[in-house]
Amino acid sequence: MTVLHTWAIAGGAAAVALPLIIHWLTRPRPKRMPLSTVRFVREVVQQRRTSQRLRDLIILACRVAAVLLLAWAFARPFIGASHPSAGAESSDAIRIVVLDTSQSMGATLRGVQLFEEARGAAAGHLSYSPGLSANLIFGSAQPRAVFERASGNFGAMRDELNKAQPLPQQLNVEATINLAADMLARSAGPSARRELIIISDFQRSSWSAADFQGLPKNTAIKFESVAPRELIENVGVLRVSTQKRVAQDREFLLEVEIGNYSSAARQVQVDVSIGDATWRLEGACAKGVKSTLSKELMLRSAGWQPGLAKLVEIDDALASDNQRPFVIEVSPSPKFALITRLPARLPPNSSHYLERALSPTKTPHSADRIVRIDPQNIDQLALGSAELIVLNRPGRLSQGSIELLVSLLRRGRGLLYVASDAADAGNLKLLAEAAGPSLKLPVEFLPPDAAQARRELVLMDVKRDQPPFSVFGGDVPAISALKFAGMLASRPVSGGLKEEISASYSDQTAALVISRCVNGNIAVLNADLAQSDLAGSVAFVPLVGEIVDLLVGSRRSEEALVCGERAAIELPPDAGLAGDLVIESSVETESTGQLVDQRGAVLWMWNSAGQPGVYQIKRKSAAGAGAIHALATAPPAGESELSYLDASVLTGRLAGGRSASYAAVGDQQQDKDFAWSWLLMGCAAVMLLEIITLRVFRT
Amino acid sequence: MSVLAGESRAASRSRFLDLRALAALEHMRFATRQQIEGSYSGRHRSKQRGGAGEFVDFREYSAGEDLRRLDWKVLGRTGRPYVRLFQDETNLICTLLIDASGSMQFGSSGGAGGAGSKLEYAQYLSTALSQVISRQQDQVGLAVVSDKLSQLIPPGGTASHVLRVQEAIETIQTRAATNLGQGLHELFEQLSRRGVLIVLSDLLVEDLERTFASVRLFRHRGWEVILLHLIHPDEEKLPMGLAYRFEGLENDGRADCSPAEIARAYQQRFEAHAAAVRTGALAGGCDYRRVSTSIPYLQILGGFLVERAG
Repeated sequence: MTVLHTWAIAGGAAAVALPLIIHWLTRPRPKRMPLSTVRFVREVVQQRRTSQRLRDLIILACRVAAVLLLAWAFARPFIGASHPSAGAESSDAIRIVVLDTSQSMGATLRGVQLFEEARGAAAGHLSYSPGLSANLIFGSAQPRAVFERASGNFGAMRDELNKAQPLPQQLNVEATINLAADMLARSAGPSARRELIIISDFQRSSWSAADFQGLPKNTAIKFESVAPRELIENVGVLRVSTQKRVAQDREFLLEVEIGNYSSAARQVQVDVSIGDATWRLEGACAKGVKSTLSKELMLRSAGWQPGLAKLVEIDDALASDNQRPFVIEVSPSPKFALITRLPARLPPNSSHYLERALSPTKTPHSADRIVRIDPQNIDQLALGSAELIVLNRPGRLSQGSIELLVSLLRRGRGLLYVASDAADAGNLKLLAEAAGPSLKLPVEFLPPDAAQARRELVLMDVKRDQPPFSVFGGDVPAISALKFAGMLASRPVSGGLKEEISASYSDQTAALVISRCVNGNIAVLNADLAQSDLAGSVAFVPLVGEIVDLLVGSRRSEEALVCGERAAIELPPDAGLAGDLVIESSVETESTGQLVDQRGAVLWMWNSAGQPGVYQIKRKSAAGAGAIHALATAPPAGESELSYLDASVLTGRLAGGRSASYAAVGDQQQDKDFAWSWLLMGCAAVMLLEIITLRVFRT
Repeated sequence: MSVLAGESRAASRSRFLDLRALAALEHMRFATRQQIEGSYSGRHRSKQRGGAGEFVDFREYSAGEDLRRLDWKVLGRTGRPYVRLFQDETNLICTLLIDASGSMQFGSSGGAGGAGSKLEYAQYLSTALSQVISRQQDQVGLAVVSDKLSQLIPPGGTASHVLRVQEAIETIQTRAATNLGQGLHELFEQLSRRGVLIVLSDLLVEDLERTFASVRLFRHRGWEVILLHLIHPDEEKLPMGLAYRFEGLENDGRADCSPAEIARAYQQRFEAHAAAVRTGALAGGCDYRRVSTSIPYLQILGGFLVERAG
């Protein structure tokens, strides 16, 4: 128990003596009188002595108790943790108040926001007291203190406190504690009393790994929790993503992850808006876990598409996580560069099959998607604009062509080499040599042995659970019935990754190899399309499509940036200069980051990612044009699960042996600060007892 | 004439004798309620039976006396009524016992019409009684008792004897101790002839039972005992005030108290004592009178005499 006004205790102790002194000073001096019947007086006095003594004792005790209770009431005792207004009345003290402003503090319970309770509790600690210096730290992704050092300017701190609001950010506990520790260490002498008061909901996801070891040794830690005792029900949109690259006019799977942190399973509906279109996803979400709702969508327009996923008709504690912005980069239909010597008009050669497989459906743009390139006259511009370079019977490539291909591969282009003849083996060897350590094929392809005809080979050791063969599911006959002939031989390379061999033939020759080279992928399909029945099978188009996706669509759309986090995003090489660009946001905010030129690239620097929304980089000169880059910022998914740490964990394990106390804000204010009223009532009761005693003893 | 001459006695020098005040009681006589044994002819009925005795003297007629005893010749001659006294009327032997214990000193210094000490009151009353008794040719004696019989003047009827009694009354000194029972017992052994014993006391004794046992001795021998219980008003009610230190008058210590707190209980205790005295007196066959010293002694005396005469 602490006492707010210790001076009252001293005063009370002196006041207790007052009735005694008054009694002694004002006691009547007896008048002397001779009396013949003194015997009778003595008898009566003797008779009444016991009851009179008892009465006098009771009266004296009542008066002393009344004075003591009154003094104690004035002293304002505070049971449990120290009174919020108690400060170092007679010695230096430094108090750091940490107020959690993370998203979970915006949860409401019975119409009252947790943050408002916390605000009131924090205000109680920021009152003037002699010798007290304080500072207020707003805990968030990047904690912020009102002053650089502890100060006596409580008015300014309260002003800042009144303006504060919960942010769509996660509390960076480590940074916050370190900031508080630094202030406690710097702002006072070694003999000063140090106090750290943390007002938070102590959400498990943020606080479970808190470490207070960095605090000065004599720091008293007080945890004041606004976490409610009962379960707070919340449903939130945690993530919106696509599995793979989204291409124009091509179906893709959109996934929305829902966190149902409530006491019962729910049927959840989510409206997903992309551009002007809206789709509804619906599904059952089990209680206490994350569930994923998905839907196949198709977007007709290419470019950066802002979107919003929003829960429909949800009433829960935290509204800010009921919607989540996102962006999808819709790539135009990929362009392919087909390097081949084979003519286009002479069916049925393998390049014809390849061309059909690369663009199986006729669309308005399909005719422009495939560019045939003569291997002897490689158009570097056309090659550079293609997303996938396909080589089919190119013949012997020049070293320059090889190096060009390697350069494009390194920079992110995909390369599909349908190999079958000796020239292909030589080209692959040159590619590997030109790429150097950045490309390590698991096998070395060799020209077929002319003496040994390779026929009637089938696919064996197919990795059915991985792309590209996973598209067939368990339907292996589509693959296993295929017959192959005339392809290259292969032998394993020391240090090569067997996992990169997706399929092999029945003679152990590698049929499909997919490897990575820096930013690009290369797939080698070791098959003579003219001599095998692959090209004519139903499996060929989907197989080629999966291989294309692997080589070109491995990059999924980026997940949203967490609000409050630092970010540094490199814009695409063709972005230009920072000065030619502008940042537009879908929300009103001053925090959009800044664009800087650095080492030939434009960096989008953001000290603290802004409000939830979509932010797009556009060219100043191209008004109305699409964005050259975009990203979404969203609250941290972890803030949606409203589960809290137990008091014992905070004061025991996390405090690590330091002086720590815990109090629930609501209970504290309700219960612990009314001791003075009980004491006053006790004083009145004692005085009433005195009156009753006097009447009973009839004085 | 001896009767008239008897009236012109020498004036008493006692300051307690106020002849002028007693003049109002001139016509009153102290009568007994029972037959007495007296030496001389007096107004009291004698135990000795007899017809006409020898004429002894004239005495002025007082109201209520038998008219047959009136001497008509003297009346015709003088115009004043006189009765004849014969040998068959005997005189009263009366002993006044005054309590001279320390408690009898209690009382204020007195004032005009106010109560003085109980002793002073007793002195006034006893002096008046001696005057009344001697005026009717009765004998009066004095006993002073404190813790023992400290002084005894056997009953006598001469003027000088009465003067001596009154002087002795005037010079009574109290003593700290009290033992009324012992004093009565000693008095009983000293006195031989039956008569009337008038006790003037506050009866604030430790052992009431012993006192009344001594009184019963007198009664058993045929004495008439009259108990005048003297009570000072300040004894009945304690004074008002916050704190008093009451000091005893008979070496019986002191007591500190707040009278207001014990007033009621004290009154009850005192009244219980007075009731015990009355009960004891009546049970012993005594004539009991509760006398408050706030009432003038002449008023008490007059009422007492009237009551006894009637």
